[in-house]
Amino acid sequence: MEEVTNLTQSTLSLHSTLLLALYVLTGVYVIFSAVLYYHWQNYSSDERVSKITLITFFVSTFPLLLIMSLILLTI
Amino acid sequence: MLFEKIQLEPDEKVLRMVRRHWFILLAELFGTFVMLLIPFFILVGLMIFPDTLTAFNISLVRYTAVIAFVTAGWLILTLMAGFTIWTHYYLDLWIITDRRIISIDQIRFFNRNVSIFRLERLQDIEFSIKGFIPTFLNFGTLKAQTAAAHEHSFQSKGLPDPRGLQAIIQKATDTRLRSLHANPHQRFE
Repeated sequence: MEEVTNLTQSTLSLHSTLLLALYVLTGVYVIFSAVLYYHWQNYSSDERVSKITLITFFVSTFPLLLIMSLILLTI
Repeated sequence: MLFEKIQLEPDEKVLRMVRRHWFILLAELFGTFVMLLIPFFILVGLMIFPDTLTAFNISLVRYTAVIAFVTAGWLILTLMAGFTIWTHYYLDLWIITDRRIISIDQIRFFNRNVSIFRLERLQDIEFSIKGFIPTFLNFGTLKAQTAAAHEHSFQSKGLPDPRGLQAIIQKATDTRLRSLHANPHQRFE
């Protein structure tokens, strides 16, 4: 019985830690995305390159964030 | 966009827009690429030497989800670092026009230095190529001295074909000075 309680606490603790990590990472990601978007919209000399860069950034990173959220639901 | 902010003068022509050499970008991105592969190296290492984990009584299968979670987080952070390098590379720019040189130095996010030097104030321009790779790939440092009161010289490292750039700037300066001598009022237009 004690083992089961320890296991539950350990699982909860792990889940909470990962959830906190996801929140922090999402916050950093949102701020970084806004800064990146601002810089490319204002300072780029080529609109096409700006679009490609921003699309590539979101296409490569956003699915990873979704995967992290989905993993957290399964744990 | 950039040119809306810089506002070129009427009839001002852009001769060249120069960014640092691609090798500089590649060298900076290489570190990010290695960082990107670190989780996979660790996983491969653990698969090759599974006894390392069993010694600590840890099962790799049990923590698959956590490993995937941490790997995804690591990949996001590394990609953010990579895009930061690309952004700084692309927004760092020299614009050479037939009237001035606009040097944009994107040091960090929210740390941007824009210097404008009129060609008629340019006193001396020199370049240096040091090292095996810069010599082989033809990139180096371009340094210009101006007669401006507040700033006497400016330089940029890692510019491609610095000799060619020096020639373009020198030619543009000569043309500008000849044009100003022929029509002195043009300076104040």
